[in-house]
Amino acid sequence: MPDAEGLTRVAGIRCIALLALLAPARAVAAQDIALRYGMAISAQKSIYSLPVAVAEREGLFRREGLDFRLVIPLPGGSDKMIDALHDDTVDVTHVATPFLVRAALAGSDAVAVAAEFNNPIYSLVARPDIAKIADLRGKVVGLADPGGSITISIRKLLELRGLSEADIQVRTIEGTPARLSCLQRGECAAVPLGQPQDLVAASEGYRVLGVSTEAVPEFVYTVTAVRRSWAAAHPDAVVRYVRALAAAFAIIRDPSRRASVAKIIVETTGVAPGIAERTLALYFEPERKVLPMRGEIDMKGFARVIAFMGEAGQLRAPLPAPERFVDTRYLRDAGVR
Amino acid sequence: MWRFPIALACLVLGASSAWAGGENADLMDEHSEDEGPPYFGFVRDVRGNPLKDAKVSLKFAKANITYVIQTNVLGMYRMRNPNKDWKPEDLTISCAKEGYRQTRALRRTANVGGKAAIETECQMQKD
Repeated sequence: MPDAEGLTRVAGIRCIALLALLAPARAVAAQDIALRYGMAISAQKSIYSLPVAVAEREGLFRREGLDFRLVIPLPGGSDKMIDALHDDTVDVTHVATPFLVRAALAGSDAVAVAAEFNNPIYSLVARPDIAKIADLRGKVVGLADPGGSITISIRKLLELRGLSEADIQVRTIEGTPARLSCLQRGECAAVPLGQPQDLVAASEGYRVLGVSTEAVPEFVYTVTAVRRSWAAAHPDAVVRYVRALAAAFAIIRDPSRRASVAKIIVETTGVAPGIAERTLALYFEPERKVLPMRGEIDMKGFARVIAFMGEAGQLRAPLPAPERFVDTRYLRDAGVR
Repeated sequence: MWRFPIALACLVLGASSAWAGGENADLMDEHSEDEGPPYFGFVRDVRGNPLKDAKVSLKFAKANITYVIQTNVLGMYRMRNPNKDWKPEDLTISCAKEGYRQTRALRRTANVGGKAAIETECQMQKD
Protein backbone atom coordinates (compact mmCIF):
# COMPACT_ATOMS: atom_id res chain seq x y z
CA MET A 1 0.00 0.00 0.00
CA PRO A 2 1.28 3.50 -0.73
CA ASP A 3 2.17 5.57 2.29
CA ALA A 4 0.78 9.04 3.06
CA GLU A 5 3.65 10.75 1.25
CA GLY A 6 3.01 8.60 -1.82
CA LEU A 7 -0.70 9.42 -1.80
CA THR A 8 0.09 13.10 -1.53
CA ARG A 9 2.49 12.83 -4.45
CA VAL A 10 -0.09 11.01 -6.59
CA ALA A 11 -2.75 13.57 -5.72
CA GLY A 12 -0.34 16.37 -6.58
CA ILE A 13 0.51 14.83 -9.95
CA ARG A 14 -3.19 14.38 -10.74
CA CYS A 15 -3.85 17.97 -9.78
CA ILE A 16 -1.03 19.25 -12.02
CA ALA A 17 -2.27 17.06 -14.88
CA LEU A 18 -5.79 18.42 -14.48
CA LEU A 19 -4.53 21.99 -14.46
CA ALA A 20 -2.45 21.28 -17.55
CA LEU A 21 -5.56 19.96 -19.31
CA LEU A 22 -7.61 22.98 -18.36
CA ALA A 23 -4.93 25.59 -18.99
CA PRO A 24 -5.18 25.92 -22.80
CA ALA A 25 -8.95 26.36 -22.72
CA ARG A 26 -8.70 28.95 -19.99
CA ALA A 27 -5.89 30.74 -21.78
CA VAL A 28 -7.89 30.96 -25.04
CA ALA A 29 -11.00 32.16 -23.23
CA ALA A 30 -8.98 34.77 -21.35
CA GLN A 31 -7.50 36.10 -24.61
CA ASP A 32 -10.74 36.32 -26.57
CA ILE A 33 -11.06 39.76 -28.09
CA ALA A 34 -14.39 40.94 -29.46
CA LEU A 35 -14.11 42.21 -33.02
CA ARG A 36 -17.06 43.73 -34.86
CA TYR A 37 -16.56 43.31 -38.59
CA GLY A 38 -18.75 45.41 -40.87
CA MET A 39 -20.08 44.19 -44.17
CA ALA A 40 -22.51 45.78 -46.59
CA ILE A 41 -25.71 43.82 -47.06
CA SER A 42 -24.90 43.54 -50.77
CA ALA A 43 -21.63 41.77 -49.95
CA GLN A 44 -23.03 39.42 -47.33
CA LYS A 45 -24.47 36.94 -49.79
CA SER A 46 -21.91 37.58 -52.51
CA ILE A 47 -18.66 35.86 -53.37
CA TYR A 48 -16.84 38.84 -51.89
CA SER A 49 -17.64 37.61 -48.41
CA LEU A 50 -15.74 34.37 -49.08
CA PRO A 51 -12.45 35.09 -47.25
CA VAL A 52 -14.22 36.10 -44.05
CA ALA A 53 -16.83 33.35 -44.37
CA VAL A 54 -14.06 30.76 -44.66
CA ALA A 55 -12.19 32.25 -41.71
CA GLU A 56 -15.30 32.13 -39.58
CA ARG A 57 -16.59 28.71 -40.59
CA GLU A 58 -13.18 27.09 -40.38
CA GLY A 59 -12.72 28.45 -36.87
CA LEU A 60 -9.73 30.61 -37.80
CA PHE A 61 -10.90 33.65 -35.86
CA ARG A 62 -11.58 31.48 -32.84
CA ARG A 63 -8.12 29.95 -33.17
CA GLU A 64 -6.68 33.46 -33.01
CA GLY A 65 -8.65 34.19 -29.86
CA LEU A 66 -11.08 36.52 -31.60
CA ASP A 67 -14.75 36.74 -30.75
CA PHE A 68 -15.66 37.64 -34.33
CA ARG A 69 -19.02 39.31 -34.88
CA LEU A 70 -20.42 40.06 -38.30
CA VAL A 71 -22.29 43.38 -38.28
CA ILE A 72 -24.44 44.64 -41.14
CA PRO A 73 -25.50 48.28 -40.90
CA LEU A 74 -28.93 49.18 -42.34
CA PRO A 75 -29.74 51.25 -44.26
CA GLY A 76 -26.31 50.53 -45.53
CA GLY A 77 -24.38 50.30 -48.72
CA SER A 78 -20.82 50.11 -49.88
CA ASP A 79 -20.44 53.85 -49.46
CA LYS A 80 -21.58 53.74 -45.83
CA MET A 81 -19.06 51.29 -44.44
CA ILE A 82 -16.43 53.84 -43.43
CA ASP A 83 -19.19 55.80 -41.69
CA ALA A 84 -19.87 52.65 -39.67
CA LEU A 85 -16.27 52.78 -38.41
CA HIS A 86 -16.69 56.38 -37.36
CA ASP A 87 -20.02 56.02 -35.59
CA ASP A 88 -18.70 53.00 -33.66
CA THR A 89 -21.06 50.52 -35.26
CA VAL A 90 -18.08 48.34 -36.24
CA ASP A 91 -14.35 48.04 -35.44
CA VAL A 92 -13.10 46.90 -38.83
CA THR A 93 -14.92 46.80 -42.14
CA HIS A 94 -15.01 45.30 -45.57
CA VAL A 95 -14.97 48.11 -48.13
CA ALA A 96 -14.43 48.62 -51.83
CA THR A 97 -11.18 50.51 -52.31
CA PRO A 98 -12.59 53.66 -54.02
CA PHE A 99 -14.91 54.29 -51.07
CA LEU A 100 -11.98 54.09 -48.67
CA VAL A 101 -9.97 56.53 -50.81
CA ARG A 102 -12.91 58.90 -51.05
CA ALA A 103 -13.53 58.82 -47.29
CA ALA A 104 -9.85 59.29 -46.44
CA LEU A 105 -9.59 62.29 -48.72
CA ALA A 106 -12.66 63.72 -47.00
CA GLY A 107 -10.87 63.52 -43.64
CA SER A 108 -11.37 59.98 -42.37
CA ASP A 109 -8.37 58.31 -40.71
CA ALA A 110 -9.45 54.93 -42.12
CA VAL A 111 -6.76 52.85 -43.80
CA ALA A 112 -6.54 49.48 -45.50
CA VAL A 113 -4.87 46.80 -43.40
CA ALA A 114 -5.39 43.78 -45.69
CA ALA A 115 -6.65 43.02 -49.18
CA GLU A 116 -9.73 40.82 -49.48
CA PHE A 117 -10.35 40.65 -53.24
CA ASN A 118 -8.20 41.72 -56.15
CA ASN A 119 -8.93 41.97 -59.82
CA PRO A 120 -12.60 40.99 -59.69
CA ILE A 121 -14.13 39.38 -62.74
CA TYR A 122 -17.33 41.21 -63.57
CA SER A 123 -19.35 39.87 -66.44
CA LEU A 124 -21.53 42.19 -68.48
CA VAL A 125 -24.62 40.01 -68.74
CA ALA A 126 -27.38 40.87 -71.20
CA ARG A 127 -30.85 39.76 -72.13
CA PRO A 128 -30.83 36.84 -74.60
CA ASP A 129 -31.81 39.15 -77.49
CA ILE A 130 -28.67 41.28 -77.07
CA ALA A 131 -25.88 39.64 -79.04
CA LYS A 132 -22.99 42.05 -78.56
CA ILE A 133 -21.94 45.16 -76.66
CA ALA A 134 -22.65 47.42 -79.64
CA ASP A 135 -26.31 46.34 -79.42
CA LEU A 136 -26.56 48.14 -76.07
CA ARG A 137 -26.55 51.53 -77.79
CA GLY A 138 -29.51 53.54 -76.51
CA LYS A 139 -30.55 50.85 -74.05
CA VAL A 140 -30.71 50.78 -70.24
CA VAL A 141 -27.62 49.35 -68.57
CA GLY A 142 -27.74 48.91 -64.82
CA LEU A 143 -24.47 49.97 -63.25
CA ALA A 144 -23.32 50.30 -59.66
CA ASP A 145 -22.15 53.43 -57.83
CA PRO A 146 -20.72 55.82 -60.46
CA GLY A 147 -17.44 56.11 -58.56
CA GLY A 148 -17.07 52.45 -57.73
CA SER A 149 -14.75 49.95 -59.36
CA ILE A 150 -17.60 47.94 -60.91
CA THR A 151 -18.81 50.91 -62.92
CA ILE A 152 -15.30 52.04 -63.76
CA SER A 153 -14.42 48.54 -65.01
CA ILE A 154 -17.55 48.16 -67.10
CA ARG A 155 -17.14 51.65 -68.53
CA LYS A 156 -13.67 50.61 -69.70
CA LEU A 157 -15.08 47.42 -71.22
CA LEU A 158 -17.72 49.43 -73.10
CA GLU A 159 -15.06 51.83 -74.35
CA LEU A 160 -12.93 48.92 -75.50
CA ARG A 161 -15.87 47.82 -77.64
CA GLY A 162 -16.57 51.29 -78.98
CA LEU A 163 -19.33 52.54 -76.65
CA SER A 164 -19.16 55.47 -74.27
CA GLU A 165 -21.45 56.06 -71.32
CA ALA A 166 -23.24 58.69 -73.42
CA ASP A 167 -24.28 55.94 -75.83
CA ILE A 168 -26.31 54.07 -73.22
CA GLN A 169 -28.91 54.90 -70.58
CA VAL A 170 -27.27 54.33 -67.22
CA ARG A 171 -29.35 53.28 -64.25
CA THR A 172 -27.50 53.16 -60.93
CA ILE A 173 -28.36 49.99 -59.03
CA GLU A 174 -26.41 48.99 -55.91
CA GLY A 175 -25.87 45.32 -55.24
CA THR A 176 -25.61 42.32 -57.50
CA PRO A 177 -29.01 40.86 -56.51
CA ALA A 178 -30.76 44.12 -57.38
CA ARG A 179 -28.97 44.36 -60.74
CA LEU A 180 -29.81 40.75 -61.55
CA SER A 181 -33.40 41.47 -60.67
CA CYS A 182 -33.46 44.44 -63.07
CA LEU A 183 -32.18 42.17 -65.84
CA GLN A 184 -34.70 39.45 -65.06
CA ARG A 185 -37.57 41.94 -65.03
CA GLY A 186 -36.47 43.07 -68.47
CA GLU A 187 -35.97 46.65 -67.31
CA CYS A 188 -32.23 46.48 -67.89
CA ALA A 189 -30.78 45.34 -71.20
CA ALA A 190 -27.54 44.44 -69.45
CA VAL A 191 -25.96 44.57 -66.03
CA PRO A 192 -22.58 43.72 -64.54
CA LEU A 193 -22.71 40.62 -62.36
CA GLY A 194 -20.03 38.98 -60.29
CA GLN A 195 -19.71 35.33 -59.44
CA PRO A 196 -21.67 33.25 -59.01
CA GLN A 197 -24.67 35.18 -60.32
CA ASP A 198 -23.10 35.59 -63.79
CA LEU A 199 -22.64 31.84 -64.09
CA VAL A 200 -26.20 31.26 -62.93
CA ALA A 201 -27.55 33.81 -65.41
CA ALA A 202 -25.55 32.29 -68.26
CA SER A 203 -26.93 28.86 -67.39
CA GLU A 204 -30.43 30.37 -67.66
CA GLY A 205 -29.88 31.67 -71.17
CA TYR A 206 -28.64 35.21 -70.56
CA ARG A 207 -25.63 36.27 -72.61
CA VAL A 208 -22.22 37.22 -71.24
CA LEU A 209 -21.12 40.05 -73.55
CA GLY A 210 -17.69 40.43 -72.01
CA VAL A 211 -15.80 40.43 -68.75
CA SER A 212 -14.19 43.36 -66.98
CA THR A 213 -10.74 41.80 -66.92
CA GLU A 214 -10.58 42.13 -70.71
CA ALA A 215 -10.34 45.88 -70.27
CA VAL A 216 -8.94 46.46 -66.82
CA PRO A 217 -5.48 45.67 -65.47
CA GLU A 218 -5.11 44.16 -62.00
CA PHE A 219 -6.28 46.30 -59.13
CA VAL A 220 -7.17 46.05 -55.45
CA TYR A 221 -10.93 45.65 -55.31
CA THR A 222 -11.92 45.24 -51.66
CA VAL A 223 -9.93 45.63 -48.48
CA THR A 224 -10.36 45.42 -44.76
CA ALA A 225 -10.27 48.95 -43.40
CA VAL A 226 -9.87 50.24 -39.90
CA ARG A 227 -9.45 53.64 -38.33
CA ARG A 228 -5.79 54.35 -37.61
CA SER A 229 -6.71 55.59 -34.15
CA TRP A 230 -8.68 52.42 -33.33
CA ALA A 231 -5.98 50.13 -34.71
CA ALA A 232 -3.28 51.93 -32.74
CA ALA A 233 -5.27 51.28 -29.58
CA HIS A 234 -6.05 47.64 -30.52
CA PRO A 235 -3.03 46.39 -32.48
CA ASP A 236 -3.36 42.85 -31.16
CA ALA A 237 -6.93 42.52 -32.46
CA VAL A 238 -5.93 43.74 -35.91
CA VAL A 239 -2.93 41.42 -36.13
CA ARG A 240 -5.01 38.42 -35.05
CA TYR A 241 -7.66 39.31 -37.62
CA VAL A 242 -5.06 39.61 -40.40
CA ARG A 243 -3.47 36.31 -39.39
CA ALA A 244 -6.86 34.55 -39.54
CA LEU A 245 -7.61 36.12 -42.92
CA ALA A 246 -4.23 34.96 -44.26
CA ALA A 247 -5.01 31.42 -43.11
CA ALA A 248 -8.40 31.63 -44.88
CA PHE A 249 -6.70 32.47 -48.17
CA ALA A 250 -4.43 29.45 -47.72
CA ILE A 251 -7.49 27.22 -47.32
CA ILE A 252 -9.30 28.76 -50.30
CA ARG A 253 -6.23 28.13 -52.47
CA ASP A 254 -5.66 24.59 -51.22
CA PRO A 255 -6.92 22.15 -53.91
CA SER A 256 -7.51 19.50 -51.25
CA ARG A 257 -9.99 21.87 -49.53
CA ARG A 258 -11.86 22.77 -52.72
CA ALA A 259 -15.00 20.83 -51.77
CA SER A 260 -15.34 22.46 -48.36
CA VAL A 261 -14.75 25.93 -49.84
CA ALA A 262 -17.37 25.26 -52.52
CA LYS A 263 -19.77 24.24 -49.76
CA ILE A 264 -19.22 27.57 -48.03
CA ILE A 265 -19.96 29.37 -51.30
CA VAL A 266 -23.19 27.38 -51.63
CA GLU A 267 -24.21 28.24 -48.08
CA THR A 268 -23.39 31.95 -48.32
CA THR A 269 -24.63 32.70 -51.83
CA GLY A 270 -27.34 30.06 -52.23
CA VAL A 271 -26.10 28.80 -55.60
CA ALA A 272 -25.97 25.19 -56.72
CA PRO A 273 -22.80 23.21 -55.91
CA GLY A 274 -21.83 23.02 -59.58
CA ILE A 275 -21.87 26.82 -59.90
CA ALA A 276 -19.73 27.17 -56.76
CA GLU A 277 -17.17 24.74 -58.16
CA ARG A 278 -17.13 26.58 -61.50
CA THR A 279 -16.55 29.85 -59.66
CA LEU A 280 -13.45 28.44 -57.97
CA ALA A 281 -12.27 26.95 -61.25
CA LEU A 282 -12.67 30.36 -62.89
CA TYR A 283 -10.47 31.93 -60.23
CA PHE A 284 -7.75 29.32 -60.00
CA GLU A 285 -7.62 27.29 -63.23
CA PRO A 286 -5.52 29.02 -64.39
CA GLU A 287 -4.57 31.42 -61.62
CA ARG A 288 -6.26 34.75 -62.37
CA LYS A 289 -5.05 36.68 -59.33
CA VAL A 290 -8.60 37.29 -58.16
CA LEU A 291 -7.61 36.69 -54.57
CA PRO A 292 -4.50 37.82 -52.74
CA MET A 293 -2.16 35.07 -51.61
CA ARG A 294 -2.42 35.95 -47.92
CA GLY A 295 -4.12 39.31 -47.71
CA GLU A 296 -1.13 41.31 -48.92
CA ILE A 297 -1.89 44.69 -50.49
CA ASP A 298 -0.54 45.23 -53.98
CA MET A 299 0.50 48.89 -54.06
CA LYS A 300 0.51 48.98 -57.87
CA GLY A 301 -3.01 47.61 -57.86
CA PHE A 302 -4.02 50.18 -55.28
CA ALA A 303 -2.44 52.95 -57.38
CA ARG A 304 -4.52 51.76 -60.34
CA VAL A 305 -7.71 52.30 -58.37
CA ILE A 306 -6.60 55.85 -57.68
CA ALA A 307 -5.79 56.29 -61.37
CA PHE A 308 -9.26 54.97 -62.31
CA MET A 309 -10.82 57.47 -59.96
CA GLY A 310 -8.77 60.21 -61.59
CA GLU A 311 -9.90 59.10 -65.05
CA ALA A 312 -13.51 59.08 -63.87
CA GLY A 313 -13.18 62.66 -62.64
CA GLN A 314 -13.48 61.62 -59.01
CA LEU A 315 -9.98 62.84 -58.14
CA ARG A 316 -7.96 65.74 -59.40
CA ALA A 317 -4.27 65.69 -60.26
CA PRO A 318 -1.86 65.36 -58.64
CA LEU A 319 -3.21 62.01 -57.61
CA PRO A 320 -2.39 60.87 -54.08
CA ALA A 321 0.07 58.06 -53.43
CA PRO A 322 -1.47 54.73 -52.38
CA GLU A 323 0.68 54.61 -49.24
CA ARG A 324 -1.52 57.33 -47.82
CA PHE A 325 -4.44 54.88 -47.62
CA VAL A 326 -2.61 51.78 -46.44
CA ASP A 327 -0.98 50.67 -43.20
CA THR A 328 1.06 47.52 -43.73
CA ARG A 329 2.35 47.16 -40.17
CA TYR A 330 -0.40 44.72 -39.20
CA LEU A 331 0.28 42.50 -42.20
CA ARG A 332 3.95 42.58 -41.28
CA ASP A 333 3.25 41.76 -37.64
CA ALA A 334 1.01 38.90 -38.76
CA GLY A 335 3.88 37.46 -40.79
CA VAL A 336 2.45 38.41 -44.21
CA ARG A 337 4.85 40.07 -46.62
CA MET B 1 -47.95 50.51 -22.74
CA TRP B 2 -48.26 49.54 -26.39
CA ARG B 3 -49.43 52.85 -27.67
CA PHE B 4 -49.00 52.07 -31.29
CA PRO B 5 -52.15 50.99 -32.99
CA ILE B 6 -51.95 48.18 -35.41
CA ALA B 7 -53.11 50.58 -38.10
CA LEU B 8 -49.91 52.55 -37.63
CA ALA B 9 -47.92 49.34 -37.78
CA CYS B 10 -49.64 48.50 -41.05
CA LEU B 11 -48.84 51.97 -42.35
CA VAL B 12 -45.25 51.57 -41.25
CA LEU B 13 -44.84 48.20 -42.89
CA GLY B 14 -46.65 49.35 -45.97
CA ALA B 15 -44.30 52.27 -46.40
CA SER B 16 -41.51 49.99 -47.49
CA SER B 17 -40.95 51.56 -50.85
CA ALA B 18 -39.93 54.83 -49.27
CA TRP B 19 -37.50 53.10 -47.02
CA ALA B 20 -36.37 50.39 -49.30
CA GLY B 21 -34.19 50.92 -52.25
CA GLY B 22 -30.81 50.06 -53.55
CA GLU B 23 -29.17 47.19 -51.87
CA ASN B 24 -31.21 47.40 -48.70
CA ALA B 25 -34.32 46.49 -50.58
CA ASP B 26 -34.02 42.79 -49.94
CA LEU B 27 -34.17 43.24 -46.18
CA MET B 28 -36.55 46.15 -46.01
CA ASP B 29 -39.25 45.16 -48.48
CA GLU B 30 -42.45 43.37 -47.69
CA HIS B 31 -41.86 39.82 -46.62
CA SER B 32 -43.05 36.88 -48.66
CA GLU B 33 -44.75 33.71 -47.58
CA ASP B 34 -41.63 31.61 -47.22
CA GLU B 35 -39.93 33.99 -44.85
CA GLY B 36 -40.12 34.43 -41.14
CA PRO B 37 -41.90 37.37 -39.55
CA PRO B 38 -40.56 40.88 -40.13
CA TYR B 39 -39.26 42.99 -37.27
CA PHE B 40 -40.28 46.52 -36.54
CA GLY B 41 -40.55 48.83 -33.59
CA PHE B 42 -39.86 52.15 -32.04
CA VAL B 43 -37.28 53.82 -29.85
CA ARG B 44 -38.58 56.52 -27.53
CA ASP B 45 -37.46 58.46 -24.52
CA VAL B 46 -39.17 58.14 -21.13
CA ARG B 47 -41.70 60.79 -22.14
CA GLY B 48 -42.66 58.90 -25.23
CA ASN B 49 -40.87 61.16 -27.69
CA PRO B 50 -39.46 59.35 -30.73
CA LEU B 51 -35.67 59.15 -30.90
CA LYS B 52 -34.25 59.58 -34.36
CA ASP B 53 -30.93 57.96 -35.34
CA ALA B 54 -30.97 55.53 -32.43
CA LYS B 55 -29.23 52.25 -33.25
CA VAL B 56 -31.29 49.10 -32.96
CA SER B 57 -29.17 45.94 -32.92
CA LEU B 58 -30.84 42.71 -33.97
CA LYS B 59 -28.48 39.89 -33.12
CA PHE B 60 -29.18 36.46 -34.54
CA ALA B 61 -26.95 34.48 -32.22
CA LYS B 62 -26.94 31.16 -34.07
CA ALA B 63 -25.84 32.83 -37.30
CA ASN B 64 -23.48 35.22 -35.47
CA ILE B 65 -24.86 38.13 -37.47
CA THR B 66 -25.98 41.44 -36.07
CA TYR B 67 -27.97 43.91 -38.11
CA VAL B 68 -27.70 47.47 -36.88
CA ILE B 69 -30.53 49.72 -38.02
CA GLN B 70 -30.96 53.42 -37.42
CA THR B 71 -34.36 54.72 -36.49
CA ASN B 72 -36.04 57.33 -38.63
CA VAL B 73 -37.66 60.58 -37.63
CA LEU B 74 -40.56 58.65 -36.10
CA GLY B 75 -38.12 56.71 -33.94
CA MET B 76 -39.04 53.68 -36.02
CA TYR B 77 -37.06 50.82 -37.52
CA ARG B 78 -38.13 47.87 -39.60
CA MET B 79 -36.42 44.90 -41.15
CA ARG B 80 -37.52 41.80 -42.95
CA ASN B 81 -36.41 38.52 -41.44
CA PRO B 82 -33.29 37.76 -43.46
CA ASN B 83 -33.65 33.99 -43.20
CA LYS B 84 -36.75 31.90 -42.70
CA ASP B 85 -34.75 29.45 -40.60
CA TRP B 86 -33.86 32.15 -38.09
CA LYS B 87 -36.40 32.09 -35.31
CA PRO B 88 -37.49 35.10 -33.24
CA GLU B 89 -36.49 33.25 -30.08
CA ASP B 90 -32.88 33.22 -31.30
CA LEU B 91 -32.93 36.97 -31.67
CA THR B 92 -31.70 39.55 -29.18
CA ILE B 93 -32.76 43.16 -29.71
CA SER B 94 -31.08 46.08 -28.02
CA CYS B 95 -31.15 49.82 -28.57
CA ALA B 96 -28.51 52.50 -28.16
CA LYS B 97 -28.18 56.20 -28.62
CA GLU B 98 -25.40 58.48 -27.52
CA GLY B 99 -26.28 60.23 -24.29
CA TYR B 100 -28.99 57.68 -23.43
CA ARG B 101 -29.20 54.29 -21.78
CA GLN B 102 -31.79 51.64 -22.46
CA THR B 103 -34.23 51.24 -19.59
CA ARG B 104 -36.70 48.87 -21.18
CA ALA B 105 -37.18 46.73 -24.28
CA LEU B 106 -40.60 45.19 -24.72
CA ARG B 107 -41.31 42.67 -27.40
CA ARG B 108 -44.50 41.15 -28.66
CA THR B 109 -45.89 39.45 -31.69
CA ALA B 110 -48.16 41.72 -33.65
CA ASN B 111 -50.68 40.74 -36.27
CA VAL B 112 -50.11 42.92 -39.29
CA GLY B 113 -52.42 42.31 -42.21
CA GLY B 114 -53.03 38.76 -41.05
CA LYS B 115 -49.34 38.04 -40.74
CA ALA B 116 -47.19 37.82 -37.66
CA ALA B 117 -44.61 40.52 -37.07
CA ILE B 118 -42.24 41.01 -34.17
CA GLU B 119 -42.66 44.42 -32.61
CA THR B 120 -40.25 45.92 -30.11
CA GLU B 121 -40.40 49.12 -28.15
CA CYS B 122 -37.23 50.44 -26.55
CA GLN B 123 -37.41 53.07 -23.86
CA MET B 124 -34.33 55.20 -23.36
CA GLN B 125 -33.39 57.49 -20.53
CA LYS B 126 -30.93 60.38 -20.74
CA ASP B 127 -27.65 59.75 -18.91
